[in-house]
Amino acid sequence: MIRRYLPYSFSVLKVNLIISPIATFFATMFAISFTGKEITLSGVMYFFTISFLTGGFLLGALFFEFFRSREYYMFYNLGISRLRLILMTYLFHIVVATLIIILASYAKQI
Amino acid sequence: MQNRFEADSIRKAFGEKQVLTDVYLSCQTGDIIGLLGRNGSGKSTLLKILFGTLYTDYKHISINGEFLVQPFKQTGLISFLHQDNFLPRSMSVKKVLQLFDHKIDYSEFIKDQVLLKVLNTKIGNLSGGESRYLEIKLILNLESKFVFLDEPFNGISPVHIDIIKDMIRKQADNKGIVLTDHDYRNVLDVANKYMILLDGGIKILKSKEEFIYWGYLPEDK
Repeated sequence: MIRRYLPYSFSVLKVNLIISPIATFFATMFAISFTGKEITLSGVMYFFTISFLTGGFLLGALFFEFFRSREYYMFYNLGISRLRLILMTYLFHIVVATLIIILASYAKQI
Repeated sequence: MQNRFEADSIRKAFGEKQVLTDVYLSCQTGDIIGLLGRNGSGKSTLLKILFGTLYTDYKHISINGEFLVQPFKQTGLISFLHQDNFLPRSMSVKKVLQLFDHKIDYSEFIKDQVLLKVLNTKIGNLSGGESRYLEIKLILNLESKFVFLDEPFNGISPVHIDIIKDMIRKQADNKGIVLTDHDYRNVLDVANKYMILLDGGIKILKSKEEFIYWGYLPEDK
């Protein structure tokens, strides 16, 4: 059942994984120059998660909307609406973000 | 089982332009309706409204008397072939078929002579005809009561057109089919009912000759 959403979810994720690290880099640079302090790994992960679940996700979804919108008809024929695709993909992103945070905190410990 | 699709009072305007004005369309199992009309007459718009993916303020769609707002959301009712290629270019033929494996007979697809040699090929690397053939076969074979085909013969080689027409006839044994295409010869050949979309409304035609009367075909055809 879930695998039917994956082509869309991975398409959004791919764009998001390009956008979010760039946004994180600029947010970190801005924070360093603004506060004059070093930013911890937790701080970087905070910026990444925010970007990953907001702007990165939105741009990924918009990319699909503008450049691959015909492919919605594959999902429609599977009985999946656009709204449902977006909601399921957002849930998928929450799971991915959680895994990234867990991995990052584990890496910090070692 | 005999199923009946009915759409009534369908109206759609794009800005000031009224494309559809009070369309009525009825289709039942066994029907192969050839819906013809000039460019911009609203054929694709109508099919999208009937499928439920294009919004309009005015419509009444029912299957076997049950009113439906967006028929595509209920699986097993309608499948729809979009006029443009709609399968993801980055996926292989096999992966696409596996996505639909709950709605098709997968083993029948992998025996298909056209698809067999391209099973592991990505959709983006198929020829235009091959990818269209895959889409048509997929849509026709999905478990559904009705099939709407928007320009199924576009970009298909003559040999494959004959295979597709046979598929359409075979599927009409247990489905109702509405197809529209500018390749009117093949549409008229495979259809058993004819309709023309003219001035925003549908006219049901009793014979192919009436397409000449309504000005869709020139007299020498």
